[in-house]
Amino acid sequence: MATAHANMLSNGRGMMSDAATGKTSADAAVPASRSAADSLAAAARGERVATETHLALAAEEAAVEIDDFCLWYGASQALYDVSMVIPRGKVTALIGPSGCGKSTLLRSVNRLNDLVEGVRISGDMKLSGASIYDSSIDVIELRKRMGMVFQKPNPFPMSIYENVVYPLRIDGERDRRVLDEVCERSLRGAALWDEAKDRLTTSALGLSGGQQQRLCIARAIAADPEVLLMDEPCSALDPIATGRIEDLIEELKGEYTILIVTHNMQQASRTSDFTAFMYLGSLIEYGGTYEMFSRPHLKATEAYVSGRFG
Amino acid sequence: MRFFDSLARNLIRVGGIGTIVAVSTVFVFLVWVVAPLFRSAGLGELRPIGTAATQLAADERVIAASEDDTLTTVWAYTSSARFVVLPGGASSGRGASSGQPGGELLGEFRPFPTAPTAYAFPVRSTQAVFGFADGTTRLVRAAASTEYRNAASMPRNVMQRSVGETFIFEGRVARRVSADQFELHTVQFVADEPIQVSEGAAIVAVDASETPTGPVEASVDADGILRVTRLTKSRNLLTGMERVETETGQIALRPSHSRGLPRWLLLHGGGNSAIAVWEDGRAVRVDVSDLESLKVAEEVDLSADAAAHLTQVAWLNGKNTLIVGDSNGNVKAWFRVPAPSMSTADGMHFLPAHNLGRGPASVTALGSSARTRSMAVGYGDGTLRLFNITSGNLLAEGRNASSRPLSIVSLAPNDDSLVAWDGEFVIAAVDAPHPEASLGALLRPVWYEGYRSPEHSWQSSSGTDEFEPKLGLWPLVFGTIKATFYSMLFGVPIALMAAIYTSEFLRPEVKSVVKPAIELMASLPSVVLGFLAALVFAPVVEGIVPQILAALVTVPFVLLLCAHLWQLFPQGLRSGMQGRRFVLSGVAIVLGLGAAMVVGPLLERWLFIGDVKLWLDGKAGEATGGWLLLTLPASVLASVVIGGRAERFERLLPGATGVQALLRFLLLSLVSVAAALLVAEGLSLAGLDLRGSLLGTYIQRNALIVGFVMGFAVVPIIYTIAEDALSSIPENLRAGSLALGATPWQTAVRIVVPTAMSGLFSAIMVGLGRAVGETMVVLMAAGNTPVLQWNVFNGFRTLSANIAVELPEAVRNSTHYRTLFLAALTLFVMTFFLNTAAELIRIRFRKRAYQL
Amino acid sequence: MKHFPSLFVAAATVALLSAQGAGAQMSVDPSIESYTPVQGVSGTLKSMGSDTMNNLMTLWAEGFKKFYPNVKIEIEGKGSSTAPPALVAGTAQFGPMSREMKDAERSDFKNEFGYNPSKIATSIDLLAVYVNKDNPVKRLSLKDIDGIFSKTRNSGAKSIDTWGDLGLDGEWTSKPISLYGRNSASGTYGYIKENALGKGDFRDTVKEQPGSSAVVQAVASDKYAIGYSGVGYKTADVRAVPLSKTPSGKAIEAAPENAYTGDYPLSRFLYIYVNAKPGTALDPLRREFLRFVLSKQGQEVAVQDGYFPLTPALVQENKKALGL
Repeated sequence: MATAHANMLSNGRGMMSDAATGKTSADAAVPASRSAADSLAAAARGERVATETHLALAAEEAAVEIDDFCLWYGASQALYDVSMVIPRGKVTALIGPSGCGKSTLLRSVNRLNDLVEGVRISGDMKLSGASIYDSSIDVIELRKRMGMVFQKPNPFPMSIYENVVYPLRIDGERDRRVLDEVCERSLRGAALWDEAKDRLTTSALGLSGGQQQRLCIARAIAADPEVLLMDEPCSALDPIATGRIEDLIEELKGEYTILIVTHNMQQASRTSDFTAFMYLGSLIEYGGTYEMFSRPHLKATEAYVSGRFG
Repeated sequence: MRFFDSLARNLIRVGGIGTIVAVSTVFVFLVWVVAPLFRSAGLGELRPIGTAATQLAADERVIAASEDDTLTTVWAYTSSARFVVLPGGASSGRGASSGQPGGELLGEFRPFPTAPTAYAFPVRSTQAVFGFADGTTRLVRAAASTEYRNAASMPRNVMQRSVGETFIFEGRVARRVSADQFELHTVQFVADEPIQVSEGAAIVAVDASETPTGPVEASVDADGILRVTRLTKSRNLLTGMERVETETGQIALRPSHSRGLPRWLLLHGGGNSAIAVWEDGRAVRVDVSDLESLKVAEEVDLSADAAAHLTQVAWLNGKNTLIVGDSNGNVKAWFRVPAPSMSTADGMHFLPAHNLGRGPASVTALGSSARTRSMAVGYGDGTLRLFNITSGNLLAEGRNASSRPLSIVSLAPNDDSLVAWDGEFVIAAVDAPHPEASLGALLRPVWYEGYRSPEHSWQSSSGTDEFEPKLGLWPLVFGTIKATFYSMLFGVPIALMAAIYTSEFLRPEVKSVVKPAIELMASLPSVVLGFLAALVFAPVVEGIVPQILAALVTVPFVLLLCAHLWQLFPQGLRSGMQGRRFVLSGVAIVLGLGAAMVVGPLLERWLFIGDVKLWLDGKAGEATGGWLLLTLPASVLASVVIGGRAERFERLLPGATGVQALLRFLLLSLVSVAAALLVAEGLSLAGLDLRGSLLGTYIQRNALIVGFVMGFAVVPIIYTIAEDALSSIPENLRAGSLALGATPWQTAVRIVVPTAMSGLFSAIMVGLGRAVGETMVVLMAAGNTPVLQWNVFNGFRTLSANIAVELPEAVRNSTHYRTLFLAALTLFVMTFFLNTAAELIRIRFRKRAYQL
Repeated sequence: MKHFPSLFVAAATVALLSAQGAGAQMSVDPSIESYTPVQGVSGTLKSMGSDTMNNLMTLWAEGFKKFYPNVKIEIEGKGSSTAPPALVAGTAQFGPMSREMKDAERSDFKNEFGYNPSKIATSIDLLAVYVNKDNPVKRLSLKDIDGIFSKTRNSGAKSIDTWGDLGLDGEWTSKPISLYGRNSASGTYGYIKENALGKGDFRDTVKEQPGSSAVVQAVASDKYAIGYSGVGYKTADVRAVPLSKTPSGKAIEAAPENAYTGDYPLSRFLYIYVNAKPGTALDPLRREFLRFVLSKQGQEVAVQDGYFPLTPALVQENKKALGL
């Protein structure tokens, strides 16, 4: 178990070095004068905090663009002028202490916050260049272009097969051959096919926790989404299952753009290409994962990733 | 803390067991009250009364006998033309104690100078009628009388008698009822003056009936002339004068096969029809309702088989059913039924309705009960049988110990004893408290007096004893089923749809108002609902029936049309108005109702010949309209299912834009309406008609009103439980579905509802339980008519309403009383089975979703 | 005895009021004695029985309470058939009935107590057949009523289903007759069955109403309706049809002048049954109530409620029967 853990860490570092090639010189030129306390205090006061975005991101193609996005739950503000670009085909992690708004931001991308009473937003988000929050957007269609995996696995009380093909059924697909094909493809993609192929018609609730989460991932990718949103997908799972999910994420990236919220910094450093650090609703620093963990620009970021608070 | 723990546990255990015990006790109690209904009747041993016969002459025969209701005295009329009074069964060894040997003659009455040539002893009447050789008739009244005497006024030797003892005192039968009171029973006779009926021809047969307006007397004389005299008495209460109008009519009896004079003449209870019967079975029925012109109504042959001749003919209690016994032991019951198609003079036809089978020997005696439709039949070999004529059941059978045939049988007024004559007086105890009740009589069609054919009927009691109780439970069970069906039909869809809408679509702030409001509906007392239904809704609905029928179609159509039109609005406006959807739906429904107001009269003119109630009566117009009510929902359902599936249909007008969806919707509607019309027209042309089964004559208080109002009562119950079941589905399931791009409706239908199925089913079952037991709404608004029709436009009577109405009036421990408890038991059992079945199904549903 | 002047005023007022309010009612024969109160009357009484007599019993109870304020009387009227079981069980002291007890009820009573129940006649009622005030039908005979209401039609009447069958024309010709009646607990039901239907059965389609006024209300709100109820329940929205005994006989109105001649086909006594052991006197409470009913004031109450008072001879007869 320990060796596996070490392997994962080394793999992660390997990935990071690929991504961060040739960008370090420019990063080193940013002054490190701003103290940790300043930025955090400013964020705590509710002031607009300028996001420290590493230049590495400028070269990436944007899958999702977030422009000056603010969100209010009733009278209290939860997100303060968040601006960032989610690179296509890469894994982006959102980290930060509890209550920093990372889940809120994630749920804003597929407009799941619309279901909450009293939510108000300003600013905009774009998916592949098209605005998400424009008044003429059909939310249902929008959500079909994205897949979401939740913290607690939530398979529907149906058979495994029906769970996986659910996104197609609600889209009106009825051809049995198409459904079968998509089912197999998705389950393979979620690394569940071998375990599930003999029990496709049994209830999905009979699977173990890790298997259920992989099923949810399979379900999320069945409709071929552009973006995959994951809200702390491993926090309810044991280490072995967690490891398998992380392997899965590794396989899926490239084909899908993945935005993952995580509490676990080691997981973020292992699995993601880019990491965004949020604090009390503001995006403090955002850059390549290796940079963020080894040479963050801001003291605040350094304080968090080294575990001094959070 | 431990103490409270175990206290709570024990308390709950006691409570749980207590509930089971209570319910079981109710069940046991009901069965205990009902069981005597089905107990077989008993006939005691036939034993001689004592030495009474020695007081009569050797060749003196008893022609008629009767016991009084206290069973202390018997009066008899003998062949020596005298009335005698004897001590009865209660003082002849049966009963607590008797000091004196029974049987001495207590008195006699000889009113006639010459022996009568004809007589009749009507069952319930206290007067006998006699005819004489000189053409006169006389009435004689025999009345039992009871005098109460204080102990102080009685002689000393009597004071030693114990309480309850009967003895002879001063020519009367005395009984000590308490320490200070004695009863003295006797029979008194009064003979009226003779009435000259014929001019000298002897009277051959005679009968009399007591009608509300006065007595009617009929007689046949030796010349074969039937005469009927009706006395109409009216008493002027101010002056005290009684005015008596006498009417007489006569007709000569000339049957097609003249065989001498008839042996019996029988006058119906209402005094409007008389039957003359010959021994060979031929009978002539004369209509005597209009005394100015008597007409022969019909001639019938009463004999059961050609080889036998009639031996005994007698009326049953109520004088409407005639019991005929012949020399081969056959016993049959005949009565009139209305028969307008037959060519009889009074539109009635005399029919053999019940066949009581063939006895062991010829029929020698017939004795009717004075209170029920039971008849005691004596046969030539000494057998005695007790029948209940209505149900055709043999209640009990006994044998005369001496094996001599019984020539007279008479049942005591309370049906607890009978007195008979076989050469000496014979008495038997009778134990038949519930002769009318048997499973067959309660559940199968029975041929009741005066009805054209056997049918199910519930008419349990009336103000007189001559009434034939009709205790058919099936109309009540049917009524309960009909009430439940129609109320579920209205209540379940509305409640379930409301619950789904509330839990899936409503905003929390609106939900917090709507849910309590609907739950408040449940607190409305059903009496108030019944009152509103009967006195407010029923008259209003009566005037707008076509509009209501139209509303069933226009409201959903307009709602869907508005939904489609709404899609055509710009997205910006729609998102802005998102929160107001609830209000907009309300506006759409109002528009739908308005459309119904307009479409209704048009529909009436087109399909229902301008007057829907006339159309419902079934005599005019085509059946298309009726069929349309069924085919339209069916075709809409079919087109939704088929249209949703057929890809070719999608390709017809592809695209997801509003206009295309609207056009698809309109096309679908048109197709389904056209299909429905076609099928309805086809069915109507094929000669099939819903009128008479599902639809029929419109009655103001009907199943539609009750169904709607009871639905109103049932909706809050189903709604609350269903909404709770739906809300308890974890939010992450919904979130998961929505995140995948499902609409809230798809989420509701595919995920939420199937998962909550067990809860929804429970909700429906609880609602069903309420509907089955609902009493007040039905009582006030359903008309309480025990009809056996599915017609949605007429009423019904349920088990629960029936019990509520009739239990206060049922005489304790009578057949009626126990039958009402049987109705309660039936309701109990029905609900029990329904609930058990529902619980089993619910557990199966729950297994599917248990892991959540 | 100082009550006398006020009592006199009260009695006079009652008489005056009833004479005014009653309209065309009869007046009580002056030779009927006025009621004089006695001492020692108090307690609670329960009356259970006829719905027809509900109002009547309530008014009698109120009049009685004017003399004896300490007396409490509860009145329940669910139908005449509920009176015998209540008397037998002892739950009621008075059993008002609009018909006589039948043998089964009498013997149930006798089995329980050993003697027959006692009754007094309290007033005279005319049973009216009501139609909606817009209904033009002129007259009905008992045979017609049999044809309209009965399933078995023992009098030989033809089945009468629509208003056209009775000779009405215009819009009435094809309209089916909508039937309203009482349920089987009612003495009124039993009376009609006995006297108009020739002991036959009612049709299944007669809508049974829970009370006398419910029948009148139903007929008032249903244009094509017909129903039977006591004459005291008449309202302005219904008409009482003149009735004749025979189809060709004279049709008599349900009016006061016809109550005593014996010509109106459906007239009856309204009774109160009590449990009175022979040889013993009634207790003061019941005795005084019955004496009140048979007094001038009691008879005036009957008039006020729309019924017809007894003649002096009848009053004497009833008083003697119970030893009052």
